[in-house]
Amino acid sequence: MDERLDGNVLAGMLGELFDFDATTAKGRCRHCGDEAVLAEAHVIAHDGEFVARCRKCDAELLVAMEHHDDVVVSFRGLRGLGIHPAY
Amino acid sequence: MSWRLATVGAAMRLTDSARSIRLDVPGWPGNLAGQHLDLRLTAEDGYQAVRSYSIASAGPGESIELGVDRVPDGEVSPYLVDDVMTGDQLEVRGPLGGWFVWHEDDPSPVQLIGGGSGVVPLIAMARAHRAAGATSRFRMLVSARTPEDVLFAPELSALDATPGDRFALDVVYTRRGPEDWPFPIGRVDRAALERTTLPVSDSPAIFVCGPTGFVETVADHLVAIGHDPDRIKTERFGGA
Amino acid sequence: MAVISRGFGGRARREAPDLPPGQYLTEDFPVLSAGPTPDVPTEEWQFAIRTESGQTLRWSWDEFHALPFEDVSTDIHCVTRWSKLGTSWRGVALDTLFADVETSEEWVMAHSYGGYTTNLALDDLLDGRAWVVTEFDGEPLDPEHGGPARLLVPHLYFWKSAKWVRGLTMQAEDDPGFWEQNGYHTHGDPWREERYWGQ
Ligand SMILES: Cc1cc2nc3c(=O)[nH]c(=O)nc-3n(C[C@H](O)[C@H](O)[C@H](O)COP(=O)(O)OP(=O)(O)OC[C@H]3O[C@@H](n4cnc5c(N)ncnc54)[C@H](O)[C@@H]3O)c2cc1C
Ligand SMILES: [Zn+2]
Repeated sequence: MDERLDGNVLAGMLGELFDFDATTAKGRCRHCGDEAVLAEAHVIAHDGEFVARCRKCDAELLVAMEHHDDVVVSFRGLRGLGIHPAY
Repeated sequence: MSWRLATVGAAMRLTDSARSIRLDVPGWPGNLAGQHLDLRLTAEDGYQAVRSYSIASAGPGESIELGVDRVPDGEVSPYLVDDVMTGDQLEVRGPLGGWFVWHEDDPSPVQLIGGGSGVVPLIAMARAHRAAGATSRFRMLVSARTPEDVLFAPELSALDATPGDRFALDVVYTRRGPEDWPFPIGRVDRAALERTTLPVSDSPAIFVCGPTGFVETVADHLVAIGHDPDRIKTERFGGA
Repeated sequence: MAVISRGFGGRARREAPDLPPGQYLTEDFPVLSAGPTPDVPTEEWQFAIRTESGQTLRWSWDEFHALPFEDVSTDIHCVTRWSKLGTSWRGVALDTLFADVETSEEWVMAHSYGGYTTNLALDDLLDGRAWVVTEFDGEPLDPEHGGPARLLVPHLYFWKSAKWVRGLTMQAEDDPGFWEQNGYHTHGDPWREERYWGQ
């Protein structure tokens, strides 16, 4: 079964690639322009494969997979990803 | 970020289906209230399973607490709730996530809303709030099937009973309430939210967590009631 | 090396000697998450092959079922590390579907209802190595597993066996499909562990 989650679940995997917390980074949807932190994206997960979709228009923002120690992430649907420390 | 060895320090039953697990994690850098970790189990033949779990504890220290609820026929949660013993070893990666986090210097009133095991990151916030002696107002709503299904119930009641209005607890029961329970039994709906949560005029920071369906329904009601969507932070655990 | 957790078994699986490297055996049906499951009524279902010249061959559900069906029993290997042995399917061989296709192009893009794509070499689809299937285990293929019809290319990782397939388009280059653009290997041979880019 596909699990419906949100971007919070991507934190560990993205942490393998970046040394900052990418789930608090603001991304802009290439399709509709919505801006939101990655944590707010809708994520469908199954067995180590994750598709993050825009919370507004449902377009794909990123695709990530992690199996054993392999991590691959593609950010195709995001136009930019920015960090704005909240505190 | 990398996987760290964790040793089960203690495991304690919370409800019929849930257990608190204390992990000793050498090198753990401490965590903020509301963060989670990824937990990895490896079988003897090398097969691995990874799941995310919220951290019930907050602050510095190399000993952390999880609260795990059993999902029937699940691969990982029945192992954690029924099988794992003191001294067993597993791997964790974290602390993770900077979004679903309460910061103790935030003066806003806070509304916590948790369904089932969604209580776990919220109790971390309640604990951090008390430990910091913060004066901001915390109100917590828990949705549980029955009175026996509330995770961390004794601790939540104790917080609720503390004099003053810094912390207040409400519970909505979806199957069966305590005897003479005056409120409706059933899912958290708009009326229940209006009765038990901080009003829009307080402009609270709101944290909603639990099964995906619960989180989405509650968040929709909150927006309909008039809360600013930007004040609502959600974390979906999956499931129906 | 990861630490072994005492007593953790995980999902039921068996040791098997002749699996591709890095694979585990499952009794479950491995599914690949691609997003929401499209709901395609068979009255609306169509399958089409389009070539570089604009030639398009099209089959409705009934026309498709007038073609010769074959029973296929095969092992399948999912890049998420699950393998399942001796699965049984029923469908039409791509050799049959390609019988009247005239093309000089060597690459194919498979398109699915729901918008997903996967790229394949025409060579990998012919000579009795690929099918469009509508039945699994003697039952109509359910939507979660790609019904009403999916591609079956069992000698490649299972994401190449596009669920909810609706057509194939010939292409001059090996342009990548959805998973291939996002990190999976363009070819996907499990015996050579072609899982990701750069492998
Ligand atoms: C960020 C994050 C934090 C989490 N924190 C906690 C936590 O503190 N405590 C906790 O107990 N769980 C938590 N979860 C859920 C946890 O990660 C697992 O999904 C859960 O333990 C089930 O895993 P499993 O291997 O037992 O079930 P699986 O084998 O993965 O799933 C078995 C079946 O149960 C369903 N299912 C999966 N997850 C759930 C769920 N959460 N509720 C209902 N049905 C489900 C699946 O759809 C599937 O049909 C969290 C999830 C996320 C994303
Ligand atoms: Zn969008």
